[in-house]
Amino acid sequence: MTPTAAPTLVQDLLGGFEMLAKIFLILIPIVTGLELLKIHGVLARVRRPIEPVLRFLGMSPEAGEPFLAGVGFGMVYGAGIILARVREHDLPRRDISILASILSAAHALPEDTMIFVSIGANGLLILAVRLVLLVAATFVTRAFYPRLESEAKA
Amino acid sequence: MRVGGGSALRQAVVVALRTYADLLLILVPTFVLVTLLKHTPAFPWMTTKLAPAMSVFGLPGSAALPIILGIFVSLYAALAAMVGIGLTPAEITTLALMLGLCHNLIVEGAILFRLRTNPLVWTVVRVVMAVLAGLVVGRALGLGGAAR
Repeated sequence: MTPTAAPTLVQDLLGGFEMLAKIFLILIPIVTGLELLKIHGVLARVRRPIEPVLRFLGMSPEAGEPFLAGVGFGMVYGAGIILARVREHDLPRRDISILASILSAAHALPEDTMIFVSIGANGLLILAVRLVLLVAATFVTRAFYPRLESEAKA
Repeated sequence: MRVGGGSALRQAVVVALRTYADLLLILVPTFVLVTLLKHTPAFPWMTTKLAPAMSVFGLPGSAALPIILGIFVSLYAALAAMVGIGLTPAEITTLALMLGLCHNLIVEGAILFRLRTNPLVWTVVRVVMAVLAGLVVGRALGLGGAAR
């Protein structure tokens, strides 16, 4: 990147409006869509279809909703659902640790990826690397815990 | 929790607009400050000092600024700074990946602590993942050829 004619301060500051507009155009549909999913309680309903994914990542079916909430909506919402499940006593310790590893590698994927795409990043590359890291993190984490019955059967 | 189609959509749009308004409080001041900083002599000085550390990832020294803002403030502060300093798409991709893995460490560390997991362990994991991803992807995208 060789600045042929270095932009002036005013030009640079005006460029900020472009950024704000791009982020607006990306963020509003994504947040609106995610909010609609929340309002209509979609997370609880896709529990069954994603069971194979959960099994692959070493979690019990109860971890489905927190998993989707964290990866899809973000850490605060994901953690909130995890804590709610913990209070209801149906989330094993092992699931919480695997979920923590997933949240560490990849939370709020749609929003966090798209905002960088809006300023020129390669979103597919970002998603691919983070999904690989997500899977790797769960495999390392489950090595610290005894195997699930469902895994032992397989 | 309302269910009617129209009111649900309106409710969702209001949340989205409010989210954006909240983000403006971070985006605008960060962008203005970073852009002003860019036009002071302190900026090239800082960039030169940080260049050796950032060149590991094939990034210019100025990329340290969004990384620091991302870790301690938020991902959106880092985003505004990235636009402010002006980077190439490949640099933005590498930085976005590193920042996606490693941001808001203090607030999110507190969240992990609430889950009764060890926040220190996961924070270290996130930093290590970001460094590894930066090393691999920075190279893969052919960054760091020219010394800047």
